[in-house]
Amino acid sequence: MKRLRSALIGINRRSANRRIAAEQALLEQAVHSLEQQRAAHKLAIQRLEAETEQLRKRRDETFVRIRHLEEAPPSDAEAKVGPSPVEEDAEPSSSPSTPLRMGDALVDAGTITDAQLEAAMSSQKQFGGRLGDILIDMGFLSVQQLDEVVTSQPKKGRLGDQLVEAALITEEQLQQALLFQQKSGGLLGDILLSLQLIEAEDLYRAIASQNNIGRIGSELSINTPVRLPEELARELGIVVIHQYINRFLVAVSDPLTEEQMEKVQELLGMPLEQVLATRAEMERFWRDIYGSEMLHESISKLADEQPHNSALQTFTRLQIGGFVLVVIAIAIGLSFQFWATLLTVNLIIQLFYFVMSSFKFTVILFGSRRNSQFRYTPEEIAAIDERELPVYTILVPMYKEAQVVPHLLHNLERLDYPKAKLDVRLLIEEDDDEMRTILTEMNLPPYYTVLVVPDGLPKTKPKACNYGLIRARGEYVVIYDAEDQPDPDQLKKVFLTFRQCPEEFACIQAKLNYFNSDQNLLTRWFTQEYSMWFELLLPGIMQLNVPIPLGGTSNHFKMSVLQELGAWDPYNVTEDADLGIRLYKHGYKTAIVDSRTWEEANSRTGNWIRQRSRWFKGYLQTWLVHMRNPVKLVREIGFKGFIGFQVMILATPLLPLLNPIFWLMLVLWFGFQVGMIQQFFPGFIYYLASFEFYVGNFLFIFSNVAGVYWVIHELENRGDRFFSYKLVRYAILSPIYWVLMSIAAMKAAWQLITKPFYWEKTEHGLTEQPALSQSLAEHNLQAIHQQAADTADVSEEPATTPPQG
Amino acid sequence: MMNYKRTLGGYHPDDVQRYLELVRLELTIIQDQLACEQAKFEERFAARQKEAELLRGDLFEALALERRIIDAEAIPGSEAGPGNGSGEGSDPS
Repeated sequence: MKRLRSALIGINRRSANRRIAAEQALLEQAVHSLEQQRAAHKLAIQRLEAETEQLRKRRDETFVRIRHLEEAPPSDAEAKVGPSPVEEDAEPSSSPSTPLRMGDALVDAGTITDAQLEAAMSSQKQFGGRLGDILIDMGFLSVQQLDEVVTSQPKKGRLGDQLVEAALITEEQLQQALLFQQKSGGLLGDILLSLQLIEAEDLYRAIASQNNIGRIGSELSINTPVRLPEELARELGIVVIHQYINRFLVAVSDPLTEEQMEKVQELLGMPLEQVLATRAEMERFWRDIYGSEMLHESISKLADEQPHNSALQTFTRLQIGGFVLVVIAIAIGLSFQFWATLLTVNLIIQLFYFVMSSFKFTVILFGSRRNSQFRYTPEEIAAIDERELPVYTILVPMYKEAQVVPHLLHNLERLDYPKAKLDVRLLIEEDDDEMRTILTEMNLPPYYTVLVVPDGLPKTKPKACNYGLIRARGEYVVIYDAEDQPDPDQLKKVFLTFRQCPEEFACIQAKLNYFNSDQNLLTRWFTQEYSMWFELLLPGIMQLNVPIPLGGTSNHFKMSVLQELGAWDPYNVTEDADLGIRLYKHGYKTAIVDSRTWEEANSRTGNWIRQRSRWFKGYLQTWLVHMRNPVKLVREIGFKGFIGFQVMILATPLLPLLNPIFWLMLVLWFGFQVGMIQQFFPGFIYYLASFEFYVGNFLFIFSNVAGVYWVIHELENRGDRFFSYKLVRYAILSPIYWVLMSIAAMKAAWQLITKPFYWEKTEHGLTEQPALSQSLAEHNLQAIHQQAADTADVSEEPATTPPQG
Repeated sequence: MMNYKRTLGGYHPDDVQRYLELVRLELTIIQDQLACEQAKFEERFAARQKEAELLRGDLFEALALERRIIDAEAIPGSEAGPGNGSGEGSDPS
């Protein structure tokens, strides 16, 4: 009976699953323990092996020294040891007037031999650290013996005095840097480097000496299997670079506090010795040790932490189901009520056109108000106390754009911002050999860092930006394209805007426009469109407080907010528009500042269509991502925000997709008087469509005219740059431009299904920039190419960056 | 358990029992493996440590011998000569 009952009813599924889950949890715990144990064993053995290897090497070296000592007659000892390798390291400061350095003093006192000093220095050269520690560690010296020498060494003064004393800079140069510091603030070391008055190596050696810590070895190669958890390493800005028998050597960019030292020592189980590394060296270590984590973060952070905001998945099942349902409903409707269905669809489309046009025009009206942008006078800019300016990160993603490098550097150098407070990060792709060669060989100022983004899909601009952001130092961050020409005072204007705005303003968008507007018809149309978008539409959106699709470049962020939001979505090909929406969703606001960045308008039709199709595809991606749950979206951004989102994100690619259908009808009606067309527009629909046709089209053309006229007028008043008023008249031909848009929209729709993450690369550098003459650009480029050609070996090397002084 | 046959009210008790036994068996195997690997490691580690100790002893002896030779030869400081640049960042510890 019992068996029958058990066979029929069995064990309750929930309680069985609970028991099984408990047992499985124990099993998983055991598996985890096994993995941890194996890792700990491996590490312990590796550490012991490294120690054994060091001991063996030292023993053998000691025997060699003993043999030399025994073989050489006492009087020859000095000659045999030879000063050669040591003398190579002699510094200009080792003049007879300067006090003896510690190594010399120890040799002179007979405490150690030249050979021992040489062995210690060889170790120092390889890994770094303080010579005294190394001598004690190698058994050549006792702590007491060292103390005697240390007390006889002169006390170290201030950094500037120390550098002058060592003849690394002159007194005049120090005064120049101090004056600069007085005006703009910042650290003396940063200023000296930014003014290119000293080499990073010399400066860091002095700073290390001042802080009583060592420098890393000049021939360092990281050889320890021990590494700190990435999170801790990033928090403290350190990497483990070597394991001595009795301590770990960690590279730091800023000396650690006692507390931090203890924390790391506890984790590593051995004492620490800090060695100072330049920012460029730290970048290299990070790439070598944490490269895979950095790549993973730049690709997967958003998808891992906020999958609902990531475009990794283009269509959700629900969305596909919804689309299929709509298509089926239309098909059924057409089968049973052909005309009624067609008219209903037409009515919906006409209403959509009407709402979109009306909303857009309202936005433009708001945008034409004088206070829709943050404006500053030259006097206000001049009144900024530069000491208050924060470190500013500039990200410049580039791919196969060697021809614009001279322009880029020229434009960045024009920025009116203390160079010591700039953190320029040039982001190039691993397979872009030409750019790597050029940038590696250029002697870039120390506030530039060249970062090679490891290869890996998706190969997109946002991925590169995420990669560059990981170790960025700025309080604010901005993206510029390689061909961008920002107004020199843009960073200062943004600083003022952030300071003036409430805390929730996390992004400031500068206005984009084109320097080559007069090149051909395409660039004229493009200029009109951009003028309308950035001069009227975006400021209007800011006024109405609806989500802003950010422009591709010149958007300035608060670093903390950008990191909080998970930065850019590497799977979205208009990551800027998507970020604008996410900012809004999180309650942050965007402002428009009256400062322009001049870009190069696409002057070739194919190139233009490629670029525009990417934009449309990205807008569609963004719409799909945020419309996964429309009800939730309404709750997050409100009804007004929701309508704004549809107007800006959906209508932008959808209208060009729908337009050809109605153009075809127009041709059929006016050209061939096809009667069916008349049936398609009965009564109310006809009046709505007519209004759209006459008034809507007029308003679109008018807004383009107004936008470009606005720019021309404003620039004329300022007298700093002129567009020709003739530009306005080309607006009449805008419908031809709309045809190109429709072609791009169709391409985008097709790519959304076939290649959603594919980045249509836009070719830049097709037009000469006005600010840099042809001959100068050619000369620069030739010089760079010549430099690059002289060096066969191509290797990534971050440019030197300034230290804490 | 998804693939197991179901009764009207839940799983077959035999199936559940068999599955639990399998999990426990696997757990036992892993625990044995943990102990076994720990023992092997301790043995290996002790051997390496002994080797390191021997090497350390050798090194100390060699360093002591070197010190004796240096002291015996008593190289005068003045003979070593100044100005050989004593190392990168020659900071005292």
